[in-house]
Amino acid sequence: MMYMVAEGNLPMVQMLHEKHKVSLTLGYMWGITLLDFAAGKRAPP
Amino acid sequence: MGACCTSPAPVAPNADVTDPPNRNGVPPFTTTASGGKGSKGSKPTPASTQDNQGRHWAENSANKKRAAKAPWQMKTDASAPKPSTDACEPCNDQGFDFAQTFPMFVMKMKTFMELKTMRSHEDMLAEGKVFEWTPSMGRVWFMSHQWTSFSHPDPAAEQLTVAQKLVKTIMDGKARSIFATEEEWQGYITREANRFLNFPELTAEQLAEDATKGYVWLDYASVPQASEAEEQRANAIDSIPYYVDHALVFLALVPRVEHKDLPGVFCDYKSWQSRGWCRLETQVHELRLSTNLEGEIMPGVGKIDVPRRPLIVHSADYATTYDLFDNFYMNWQRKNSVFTGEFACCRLGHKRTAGTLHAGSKAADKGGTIPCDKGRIKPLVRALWERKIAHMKTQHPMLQWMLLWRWVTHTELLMSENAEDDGSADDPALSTLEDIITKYNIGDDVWFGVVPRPPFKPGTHRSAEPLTPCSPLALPVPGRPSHVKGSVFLGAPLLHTVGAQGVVARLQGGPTLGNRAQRPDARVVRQMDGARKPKPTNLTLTVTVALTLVLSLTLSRTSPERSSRCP
Repeated sequence: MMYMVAEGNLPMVQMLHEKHKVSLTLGYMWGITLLDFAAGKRAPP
Repeated sequence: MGACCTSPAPVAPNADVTDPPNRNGVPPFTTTASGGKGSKGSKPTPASTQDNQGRHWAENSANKKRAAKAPWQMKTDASAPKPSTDACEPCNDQGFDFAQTFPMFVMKMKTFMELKTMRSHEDMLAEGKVFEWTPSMGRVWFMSHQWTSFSHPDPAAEQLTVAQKLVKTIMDGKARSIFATEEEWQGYITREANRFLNFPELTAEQLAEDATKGYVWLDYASVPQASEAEEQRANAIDSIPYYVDHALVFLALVPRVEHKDLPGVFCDYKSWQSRGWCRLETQVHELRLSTNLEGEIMPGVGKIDVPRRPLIVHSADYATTYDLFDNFYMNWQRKNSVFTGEFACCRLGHKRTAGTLHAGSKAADKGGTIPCDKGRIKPLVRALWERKIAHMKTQHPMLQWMLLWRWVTHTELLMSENAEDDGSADDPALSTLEDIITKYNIGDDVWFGVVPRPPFKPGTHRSAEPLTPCSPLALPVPGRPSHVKGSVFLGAPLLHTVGAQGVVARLQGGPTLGNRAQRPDARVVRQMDGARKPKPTNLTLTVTVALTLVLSLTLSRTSPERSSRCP
């Protein structure tokens, strides 16, 4: 999850979360509260 | 064809007079009709030339039909670099060098300091002031900058003066004074303030010696400027990775200077950052390889060093930088990729008309279109990323765990041609969890940063035993259905993450989840246990840690799920 958040790969984040029930909080490992999403890599849905 | 070709940036009214080449006898950036620099009627107004800030030297190449040669190819045959078979020994870097298709001409720093103005390669070569650099010479200062006029890179010697004064300050051992804050100074000398990586710190004295005994690579003096040297310039462009890769210092010379032929237009850090070719140089620098050093950063993990941070020179007494961490988290975004940068070819709509692009060359009068620089250099940039990742995969699993993912996650992002997030930078190779595991080489050893069972062989260090809910590390997580169901894949990401935290926590000296997990092959953790015996005086902490471990183990062993499912 962390890597997919870092990639800004929303489809894979969704796949991990919805299909594999992976917690989105694991993405926090990448940065400061999903900073890269906030910074424009990928807007959360 | 890249996005630039389908939606070129607006072309300024006089943009056709702003593209390249500088060549002897024919002033570049001019129309044949206008008669050259300063010709009346050809001067654009400031309002119409906001995009026409200083050029990068590589855009002066007229030979754009040829695709850039990939400077490095991954080798899969027997001649491929043989990585170290021992994590403690320096890895074998053979095979990771970039191709050099045009020599790296440099001048002595002393020569640079005595220049009154930037002089062309031909002039300097004739006087013997530039010469071919060889690796044994070391200490090259690669200076990246923009041209501030159509005919000369720095007609008023403003950039040159700034660079000379700044280098003089460094030579005097006062490098600290050019940084406004202690944080930036620390960022420069440590590369990344990280107590685990612990790169060797630079000193002002060392920087002074590097400046005094150094060499300078500067585009105007190092790359042929003559009109008949188009092929050589193209070769020099292909060799940019080699030049930057072998430079000790990457210096961006970005003082605010008004463009002499574009009144009201200034070349500065912002415009330098916006240029695709300047971004390429920066990218090459960020994708340079680490080097192995003597010693260990932790038991079993060899010490490494990384290239120095960019030195961004804003004025004679003021420079800035950003450390690895800031670059990774803040700079590496789609909007900062090479291909979302500004290229003259795109702004011109890739149209070649008589007397415009490459005026004076044979190709100039044929009209038609010109290829996009982005397509030309794409193989080159892709090769940069592949090389960096391939090199990191030869390193110790702990280092891979700590560093490799930073580059792997950002490859597609920084190859993106669109600053907007339209999904085009999503890795097409990923569709399943297994794809992710494969891409990131996720094995227990890499994930947890533990030393694998000896002998360590790069590429084969993935655990042979799959992680299951009954694995020693598989901590019971109350309320987490993924674990209760016993799915390897559902629980693995969480468990891996918990384990990673545990190792880090251990290194920080705190109680660890990794220790709690009693992982049998967690040699690093165990060694850390031995190396970091609790201080006798810290009795309270010791008791707390012990109680925490006992309680944790008791809970994990008595978990209902575990008891019912595991032997």
